Amino acid sequence: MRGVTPAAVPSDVDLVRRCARGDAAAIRVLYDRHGESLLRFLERMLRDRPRAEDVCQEAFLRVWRRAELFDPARGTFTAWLYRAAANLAFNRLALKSSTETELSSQLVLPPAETVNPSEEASRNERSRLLHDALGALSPQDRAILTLRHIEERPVAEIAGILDIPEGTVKSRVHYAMHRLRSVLEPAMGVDPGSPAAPEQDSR
Amino acid sequence: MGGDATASGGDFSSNGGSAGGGACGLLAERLSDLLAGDLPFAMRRELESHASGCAACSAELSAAARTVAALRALPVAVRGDAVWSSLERALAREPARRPHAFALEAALLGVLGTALAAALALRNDRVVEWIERNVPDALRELLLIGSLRACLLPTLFALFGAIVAVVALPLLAARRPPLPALALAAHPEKAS
Repeated sequence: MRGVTPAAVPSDVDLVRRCARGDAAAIRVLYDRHGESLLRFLERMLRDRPRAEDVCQEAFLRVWRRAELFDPARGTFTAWLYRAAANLAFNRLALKSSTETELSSQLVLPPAETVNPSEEASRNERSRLLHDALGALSPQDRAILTLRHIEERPVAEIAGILDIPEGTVKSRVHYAMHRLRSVLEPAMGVDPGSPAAPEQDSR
Repeated sequence: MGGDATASGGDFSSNGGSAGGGACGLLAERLSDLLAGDLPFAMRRELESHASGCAACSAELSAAARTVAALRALPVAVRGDAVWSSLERALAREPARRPHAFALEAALLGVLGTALAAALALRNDRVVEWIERNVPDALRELLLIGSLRACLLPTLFALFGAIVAVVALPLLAARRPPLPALALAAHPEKAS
């Protein structure tokens, strides 16, 4: 930390209220707190970095424009922000042309940390398989999986963000995990041995 | 977090191949919560204890953990500073904030206007004298006829109110505090 007492750190709710009063410094602090994690979520969901950046910017603009509408009794600021971003992302995907290419859908692997070429090749292969398996999931399933197992958000919050029942969140997580495992396990030399995926659960 | 399960009396009967794969009942049901760190400590311990003695659950847990680890290890390159730059430009183009955001300034202007009006009222004779000296005849007669003369003070109040509402508030609303510089580097990434 920076030697600041906890009481001196404004809460998200305080910052949103300051946004509603036109305090531009407050939106900067909110972006500083949540911007990068939201951007990572959107890039995983959309698989398109420029589009994720656009949606992230638009989500924060929406926070600025509608700050007075935020009601802390109905959920956290994070859930409100992610819900706005997810809705924008779904709208963008709905508008997306079928001929449009996904610029960042090509997996860019990080520099190798190991000197063992076969181990590196194996790891890269697993990453490619996982990347492709994620691409085969629906955007909503990618969003659910990211929120649950990367951002570790509670099921209830994910249900609120995506406006779906909690049971649907749970079943989609199981389904998406099963899909990924069925791709990864053979590549790791493990027999997946998993049962069939559950039925698609409509919203 | 969202884990609401209690730790007592867990049902570890065979799952029969439901969504949790080959794991026993309770672990299959709670696998996602367990991986997300969303369970109470006692239940987490109970599940892990069971898994340590159950080959099927142990394999299921390991496989799911490997999948989550691989998922988290996938590279995601973000450019938070670039987004902030464009967001900052977009914010600068936003229309002025709602006037009620400047309630304090409006109240101060109101107090100032009232004080000025009161000062004029105390020197009402001089105001009338000034009007008689400087205002053209036709307008002077209009201003100083009996009833209008009695209304001079309320008219001044109304005039200041109108000035505040029509001129001062929009000018204040157009004022925008500068956006401070971004310090993203101070916040480490949570994942990936």
